[in-house]
Amino acid sequence: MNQIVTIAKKEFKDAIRNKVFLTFLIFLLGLTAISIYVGSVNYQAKVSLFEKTYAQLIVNGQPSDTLVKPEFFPLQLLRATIEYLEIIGAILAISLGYLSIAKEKGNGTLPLIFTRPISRKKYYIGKMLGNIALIVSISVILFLFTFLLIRFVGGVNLNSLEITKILLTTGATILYLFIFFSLSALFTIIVKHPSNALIFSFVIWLFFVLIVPQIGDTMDTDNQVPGGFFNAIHVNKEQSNIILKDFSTYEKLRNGTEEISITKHYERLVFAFLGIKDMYNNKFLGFIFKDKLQDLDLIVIFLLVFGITPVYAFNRSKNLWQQNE
Amino acid sequence: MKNTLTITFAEIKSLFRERIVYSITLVFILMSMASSFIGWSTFTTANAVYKSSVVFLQGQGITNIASNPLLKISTLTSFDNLIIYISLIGALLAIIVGHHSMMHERKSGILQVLFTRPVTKKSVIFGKVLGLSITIFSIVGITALISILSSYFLPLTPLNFSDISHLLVFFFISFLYMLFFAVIGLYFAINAKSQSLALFLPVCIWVGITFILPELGTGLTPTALLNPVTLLQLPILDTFFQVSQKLLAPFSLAWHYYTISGELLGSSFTASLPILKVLMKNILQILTLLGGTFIFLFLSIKSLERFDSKGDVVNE
Repeated sequence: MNQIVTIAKKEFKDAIRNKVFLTFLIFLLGLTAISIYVGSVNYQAKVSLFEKTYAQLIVNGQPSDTLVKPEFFPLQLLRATIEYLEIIGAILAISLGYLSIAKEKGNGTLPLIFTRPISRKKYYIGKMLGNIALIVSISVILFLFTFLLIRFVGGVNLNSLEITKILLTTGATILYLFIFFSLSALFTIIVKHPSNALIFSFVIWLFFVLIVPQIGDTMDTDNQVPGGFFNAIHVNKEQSNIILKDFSTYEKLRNGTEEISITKHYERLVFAFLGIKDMYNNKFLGFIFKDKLQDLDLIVIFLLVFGITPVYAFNRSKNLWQQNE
Repeated sequence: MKNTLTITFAEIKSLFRERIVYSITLVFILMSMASSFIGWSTFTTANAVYKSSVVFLQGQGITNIASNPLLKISTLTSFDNLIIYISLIGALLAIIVGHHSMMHERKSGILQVLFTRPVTKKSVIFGKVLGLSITIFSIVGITALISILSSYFLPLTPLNFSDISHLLVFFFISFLYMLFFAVIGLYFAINAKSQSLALFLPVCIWVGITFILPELGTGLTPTALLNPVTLLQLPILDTFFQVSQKLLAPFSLAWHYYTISGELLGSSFTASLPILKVLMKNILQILTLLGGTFIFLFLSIKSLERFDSKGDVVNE
């Protein structure tokens, strides 16, 4: 146990000293600030548009009761932050997984380390725990920073339910980032040249984080026309659900495409926590968990598969002894 | 000149020998093929949904039914997804190609040997960039050919001469866009001390150009920036976004690429514009894109001139 803790501590310290890690952390913090600011500017623009339209209707003597004033939900300001975590957070996790294995492979230090009385499994678990501690620290720093921005710059007091929702989002983010860490570590373990492992990880990242959700989104019939296809032909939500029943195979295929992306499950879960999807706004956690259980289950399955596989691969891989290219 | 051409051909051979390069090229080409299929299947389904909606509404006794909004769509809209795939996979592929171009030689020590020969550092860079350009041009050319051919295999509206010309110009602009990222990959491969940093830094710049700058200029979130339908249909912009869009214009290359491509291919709310009109309207944006490439090319030349291959050690 002592050996695992020692390796974990060393891993943590090494990562903090690494320029790649620091660059990404600063980048993410900057993006969080920018996205919250842009979110608030967007909200103010909506309110201003509402006020102008309202005033115009009053001047024209037209009824204004159909206009709905945009409501302010502070957690919705986190939308772009979450999207950046999906994209850049995943790259950060990939960099941790890659660096964690590649530096040992590149320096050729592994044969030396294993002359000491430590098993491969313990060594990898130590590295993994060090990186988990790092991922937890990053997520906590990021969401604490978000909380402080909303509280002191935005001047919004979050209630206990909202704070709990931010904590749950932090937890889900840790799981999501850990999956990408493990994926990248796995590639670096099994692929002969570490740089190729990094490129493979980027390709997988690109495919599952950006391309697959994008395909699902663009295949949505309602997304074919700006403002919504059904809106353009004056069909409401209930009616569109009835009409789409005849296209269930297409809808299943579209949804199935999205479902293979871990990012989509993370997004669905976290958007529900934060009320970014309107139907989850002001809802209790029990309702959200019940409704998003499938997404949570799939995140845990991904986590188990990608969490355990590198431990096994590290124990067996012959490519670990590969020296610098 | 002879030296430059020798390096160019060596570069092309070396790139196509890299398994990772042609694997990603294959992914890119397959995605382009998928793009046509996705565009076709979505358009066909949406049309069928419209017909079902008409039957459903008539069954409800509604007679005043809106016309099919898809009829206003440009023929080339089914290629819209390509804009996104090129800005994602194409740009990443270009970074990797540019990275490999120099990193391989730094790691293997070829650069040190090369500089003992009577070649100038400038001719090395020009040879490499020419090699990169030919490689990327070939990849984009194959993608263009597949996209045009796919329209004959999928029952889309047949493409006329004007449509094909628009597509070809779109692919040429895409080539310029990818070349910019390839030169960035090359620049960092010359300068970074570690291989990981040489890959991560251009990826950071790519994320910044693709997501952050457009968000600051339009307020669109990263996901919204990946939907070609909503991408170019902006709401009336707030003063903040109007100002930031102007300030960030010299750097917002992805946004310029989206705008030019959207105007060439048309979208669900506009027809494609005449080629000359698009080019004239976006001359500044095209020059910005070229300018960005030349700046990084210039910086690469300067970096290589200062480069000391003797003491060069590349870490992971």
